[in-house]
Amino acid sequence: MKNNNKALACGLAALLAGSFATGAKAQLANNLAIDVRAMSMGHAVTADPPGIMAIHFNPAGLAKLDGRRVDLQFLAADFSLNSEFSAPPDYNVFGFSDDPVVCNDAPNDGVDFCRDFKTANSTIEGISLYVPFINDTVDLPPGPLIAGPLPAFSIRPAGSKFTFGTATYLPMAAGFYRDEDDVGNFMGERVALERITYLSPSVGYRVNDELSIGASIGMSFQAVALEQDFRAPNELLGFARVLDESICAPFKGESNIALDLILFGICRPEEGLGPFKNLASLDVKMDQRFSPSYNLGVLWEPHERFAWGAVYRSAAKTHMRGDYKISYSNAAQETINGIGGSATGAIALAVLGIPSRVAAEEVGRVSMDLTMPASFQTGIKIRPTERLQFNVDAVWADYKEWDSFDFTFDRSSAVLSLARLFSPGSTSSRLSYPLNYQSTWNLAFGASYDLTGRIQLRAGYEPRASAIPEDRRSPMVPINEAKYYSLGLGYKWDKDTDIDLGIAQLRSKDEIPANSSCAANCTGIDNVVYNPYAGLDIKTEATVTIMGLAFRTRF
Amino acid sequence: MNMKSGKVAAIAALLLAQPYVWAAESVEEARDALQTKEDDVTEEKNLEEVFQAAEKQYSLLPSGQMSLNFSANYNYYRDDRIDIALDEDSGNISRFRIEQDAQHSFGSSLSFDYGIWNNLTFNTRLPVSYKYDTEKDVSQAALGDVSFGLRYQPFPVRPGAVNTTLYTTLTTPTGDSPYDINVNSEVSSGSGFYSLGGGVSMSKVVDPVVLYGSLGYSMAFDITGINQRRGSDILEEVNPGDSINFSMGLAYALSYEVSLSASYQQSYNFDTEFFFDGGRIARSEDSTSSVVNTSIGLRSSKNRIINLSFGFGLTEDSPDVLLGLSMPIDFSGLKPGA
Repeated sequence: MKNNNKALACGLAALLAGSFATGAKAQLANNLAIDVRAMSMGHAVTADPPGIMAIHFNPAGLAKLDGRRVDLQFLAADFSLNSEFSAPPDYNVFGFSDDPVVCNDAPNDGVDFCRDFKTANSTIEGISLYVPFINDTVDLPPGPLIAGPLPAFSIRPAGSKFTFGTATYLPMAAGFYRDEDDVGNFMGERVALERITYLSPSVGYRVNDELSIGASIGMSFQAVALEQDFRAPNELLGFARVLDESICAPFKGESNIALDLILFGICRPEEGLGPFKNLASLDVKMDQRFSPSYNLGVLWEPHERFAWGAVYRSAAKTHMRGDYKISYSNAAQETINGIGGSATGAIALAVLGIPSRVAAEEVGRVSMDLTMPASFQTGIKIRPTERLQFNVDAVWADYKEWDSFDFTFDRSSAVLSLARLFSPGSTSSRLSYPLNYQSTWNLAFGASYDLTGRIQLRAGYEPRASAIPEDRRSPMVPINEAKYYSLGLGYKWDKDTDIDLGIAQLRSKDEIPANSSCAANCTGIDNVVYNPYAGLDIKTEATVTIMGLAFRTRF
Repeated sequence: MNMKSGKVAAIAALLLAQPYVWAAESVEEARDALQTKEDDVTEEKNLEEVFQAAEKQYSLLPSGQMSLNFSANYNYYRDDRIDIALDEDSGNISRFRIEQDAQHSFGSSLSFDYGIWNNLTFNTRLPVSYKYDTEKDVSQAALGDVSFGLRYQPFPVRPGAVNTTLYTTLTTPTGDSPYDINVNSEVSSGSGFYSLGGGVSMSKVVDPVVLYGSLGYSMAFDITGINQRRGSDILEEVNPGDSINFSMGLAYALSYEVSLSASYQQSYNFDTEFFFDGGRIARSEDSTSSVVNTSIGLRSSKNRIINLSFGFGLTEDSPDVLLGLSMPIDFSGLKPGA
């Protein structure tokens, strides 16, 4: 019984922690889809800031904009996340291998092993968005996410050295939903992550003809929403299934006092636990409406053919709050209630401080402190010929900040009472999940060529480093080491008006062999946080395609 | 008959008076030039300006005009609470302690006014705040409750007469609701409910001061669907009480550059009902909050008056100290054609 409980406990603790953690990885999409011109130059624009969106890429660049200007950006982004699960030879969990994720056999066919393995594919159906103030997610029909017009304004009063500006942009927007029966639902059935900067008062100051400095304050909305199924294929739940199917089989459905006393009520439930069964589903939605941050930048242009720039983007400490709902599966609910319904089982649960009865659902409020990592970027611009320009940037992002995620619940539930027994650093209202992410450095390259006085061709390449260590990769949003390619076109409509077009693709492909990442497929009795595909080989592929149009003019 | 002779007489007079008319016109011009113009600075106009800079809710903008104002404030709440527990069996005191709590609140807000007609002004206000609670040791930056309002002047302004403005305000619960937070570890930044208010404000210039006052009523809408843990209970619904408020004060221009104003504000809040799971209902008592505020206005340029204010609360439900700064943000450069 204790094993049974422990397995459930560990599992549920991991359910909460694991799901949050995996959800956050999409944030490694730093710099993406902020400005069309930056996008088509591989984000290597610190020394060559793009229009008013210099607010993000280097606020010193604002000082180069005169008069009253407006930028309108239209962006379309499409995500594709594919995962492939397959069973390596000798795959089994405590002797069981009929895992419906990779097994073609009919369920509950009375055989413990799988006769016909298959390779399972998981994909996403469409984009899911978190809507502020409604505090809920909305599933968009299949197709790209279209945002726009995202406005930005700047003004330099005549004769002033100061340029003021503000922009509305999306430093982070990602979300998807999967089909109800998708095998990937243990890594998120519905996920939405957003950071929307709605106001960003900024100032650029021209120190002299060569040097400019700038600063901006970003006021942002931050949200996370997640729906996820949970399972824990490990030896403990394998043992639970042995108890249920072998030891309890003769007494199934019977309930008498003597039996309950001896077996702690473990044979009371109609449906027992198992390593491949869905134990619970989690639904969490959290947001923060005001999250401030700042950017500082410097731009040095000693020569018309050379420039250097640097920008520091501060960390943003967010404190998101929202609701959680845990729906227990029939097996999990019957197991706890069955044990709690017997005299000895109830005493055992009381000793462990676990409620002796759980409802089908538990709801409450949850909050989370999350620091959006600081980043630093510096780069140069070189024009070797009249028409050709090269940009090179070095980008640093402080993901080391994410060593763990901490969640605070407003009440203790069955899950938390269980979790605190097995998860170090957790209490009955607090859950801590280790991440061990690492800070990253990478280079970025951009080039442009002036075809005519009006048309400029652009291209960019950015080999992105992975903030997720090898042993923490997962199929949720698998953006690890990634390659970013982009193309763009600039068209000068008239003296004051520019139109930019851009297309970019970010690709990340990975293989996670069985037992190599403890955020996905570690085996062993201690694989509690969080390995729903324990012992399986996983291949992942993420593709983000972005298209954009920017219209920049004076007014 | 009479009319006809009148007309003839008028024409005759006009013909005869021709040279005099020309003369009179040049005199008129001179007189006109010497007369005060609408944009001239008079003491009364100055007084109106300094008064409206200090008391924004009395100001109206001409049709099509916009104004943006920045204000910053600091409030301090200090509270001592007795936490006492009695042993049910013996009646002895099993716990007695005094909790000392202080809350520092820094806020700033942007308010935007737009003159729809000459006598109707739209207003919206976006507040943000940073709070620090010493007892909980929590600090939090947050958005406050965004509000939208209209101010309407039903009667044209007549010099020397009472100037009446009707106002209405809708406050939206965009801030962190006190009924959504974890009461032990978080601080709220908003009221948590929609409220709709309306009232009348009046002002009158009685040289050398402006006297003003207002009276309003604010209706609070119920909040349902709460799921907040309070002690061992779950709070499910709150019916916040409506409130009546009034204020009065005077503004006085010491010179063109410096002005002073003082005001008293009071609001009376009706009881709030709290519904907990299991059908338990708790009811807060009526409360009164009153504040005395004084401010000094400094004119830094022709159309910029910076206001510094300080005030103090008179009841338990008001802040102990209030400090404030407000100033207009000149964005004339943003206007097309400027």
